[in-house]
Amino acid sequence: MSLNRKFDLIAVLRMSALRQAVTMTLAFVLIVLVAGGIAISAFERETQRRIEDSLQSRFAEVRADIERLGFDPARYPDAKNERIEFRPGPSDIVAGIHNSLDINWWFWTRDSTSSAEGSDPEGLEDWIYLAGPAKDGQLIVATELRRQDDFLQIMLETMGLVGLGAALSALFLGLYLGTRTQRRINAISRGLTDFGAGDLSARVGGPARHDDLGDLSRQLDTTLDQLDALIRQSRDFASNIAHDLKTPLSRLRIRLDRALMASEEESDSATAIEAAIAQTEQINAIFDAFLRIAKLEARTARASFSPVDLGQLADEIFETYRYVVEASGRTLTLEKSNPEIVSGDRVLLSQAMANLLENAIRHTPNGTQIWLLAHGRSIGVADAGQGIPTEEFEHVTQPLYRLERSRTTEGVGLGLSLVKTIANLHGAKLLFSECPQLPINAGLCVQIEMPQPVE
Amino acid sequence: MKILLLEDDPEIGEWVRDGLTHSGHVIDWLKDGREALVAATSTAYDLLILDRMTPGLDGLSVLRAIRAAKSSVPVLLLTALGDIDDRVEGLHAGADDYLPKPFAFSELDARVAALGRRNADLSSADETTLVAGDIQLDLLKQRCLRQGKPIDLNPKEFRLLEAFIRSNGRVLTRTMLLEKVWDMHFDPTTSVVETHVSRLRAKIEKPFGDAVIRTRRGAGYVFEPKI
Repeated sequence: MSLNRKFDLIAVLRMSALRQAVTMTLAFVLIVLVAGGIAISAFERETQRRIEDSLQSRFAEVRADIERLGFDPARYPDAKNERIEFRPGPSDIVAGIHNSLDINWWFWTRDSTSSAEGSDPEGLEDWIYLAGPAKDGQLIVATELRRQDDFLQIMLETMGLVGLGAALSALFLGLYLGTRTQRRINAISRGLTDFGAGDLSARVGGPARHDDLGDLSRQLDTTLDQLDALIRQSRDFASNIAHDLKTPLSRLRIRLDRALMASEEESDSATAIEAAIAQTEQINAIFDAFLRIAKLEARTARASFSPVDLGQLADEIFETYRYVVEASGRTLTLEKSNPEIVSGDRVLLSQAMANLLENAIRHTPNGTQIWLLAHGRSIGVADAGQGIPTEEFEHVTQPLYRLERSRTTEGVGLGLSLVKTIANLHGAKLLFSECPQLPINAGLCVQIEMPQPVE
Repeated sequence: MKILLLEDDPEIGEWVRDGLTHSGHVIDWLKDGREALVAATSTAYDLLILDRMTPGLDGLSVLRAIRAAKSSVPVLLLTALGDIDDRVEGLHAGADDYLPKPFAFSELDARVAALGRRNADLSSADETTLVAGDIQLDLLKQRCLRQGKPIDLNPKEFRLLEAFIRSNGRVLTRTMLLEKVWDMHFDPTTSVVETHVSRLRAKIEKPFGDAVIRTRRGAGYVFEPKI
């Protein structure tokens, strides 16, 4: 639905701008009609009153003349818009103003050559008359209303013209402004449609105007950026899972095949079956880590936070891992300086430390020195191993990312990713460096720096 | 033991039933949560094994209903993989233990045995001294004696030995030890348990030239003191 591409009647009719303009114009016309109706009826009433006033004063004037001089018809010829009649003697015509279309003008004697009944004279429908006693009879004064109708006609035409002009300009102005808005709405709609159709680089864009539509466009673009990142991440995630499950799954198959062959040859199949079970545990561990990460990322765990003494946590981890590290042929040293008490999830923080220590053991040669660090609000692990290239720092926290040289070593490749997720959950920074605090100034140092407490 | 098993998956249910029957237990296997609740309230069981996701009524609701009825029968909750919050939720609802799927049968077997024993002797909960053969543990002073000779243990080794003595000759799996001694509810791929068990052995067995902790392949450890 675009104005710019090609003319399409249905699309144009669906434009909200057009609908708006038409609705507003119709409302405007209705208002003009109602206002005109009110004005005309007020005008009519006022004119009627004026005519009746002038009829009254003319009546009074004529009656005064008759009282003084007697009735002389010659003095009151039939004028274009006035008739005067005097009937001596008593009368059965009711005194007062009469304004009836079906009136019987029988009393009109003058020029009346027809029957005594005096039927309806031509062209008297628009007249009104005033009857009343004068001297020894009854005086009737009549006047025409047609002047008033002419005036009304002119007024109606004027109002109609003005109304039509105003309505048309409202329609065109509305269409013009509406089309401009519509074009921006179309751009938004196009951006969203393209994104929905799979073009993840599509954005709403548009001029950076500071109005509601501009704000909306920017908000939509921010949302699309986030969606883009999420979609890419889960795509990578899925393909990485598939990739990393291939190895253990094919090993599992091989081992089960061996077990089957061994049992067919009636030799010992238990070793091969045990090896197969070990592979299923590896597969399990991959899924478990993924699910933990997904669950943690979906969680807003602030509620489960409690005070954690980083020094105490480091002591406990040191106690647990000291001999594990030594048994692996490396050494573990505890380095503490003013450890603080932070707000966090103790279980998750110790899991993060466990993962860092396991990485340090797995990816360093025998005899390497490893440090467990607790400095202020930071806790971490450093090693004097060969380290990693600094340009890899931002990649190592991605799920299943492994440096090329460590592809050959065992491991799930989710350890750092889980550490990153745990750090994020705490609003903490995950810092990689080449151990600047330690005398060795080499190897790799990974630290979780907890945020400053909020007041 | 007489055990109620609530599990809707036919394969897992059959596997657990056959395995536990083989271990000498009597199993009532139900697939619907409502039926399980009725059975649990009308029959005296030594242990309930409840799967979390079951038709009719889920395992967690069955557990809550049973606990609301003031029953203290031990309950082992089975749940899907990776639900880290489920453990807390399950224990909060009154479960005595918790096992994520998929699990090794030896793990289930060991936990079932441990829960049955727990039900049997609650009386020994507030002892201050544990004795197993010629080994003595003073829980208040955190001291260990074997054949009257003091043995220097660090806190983790002490808690490890305490867990072994309390196991009363039942199998302790690696995961159970991680939970009891280190309070770790995730699987460290490193050999935390193996390292500490071998250090404990070096202190408690080597000077006396015998073996009290046996490794049972594929299952865990068994503590067998000389009487």
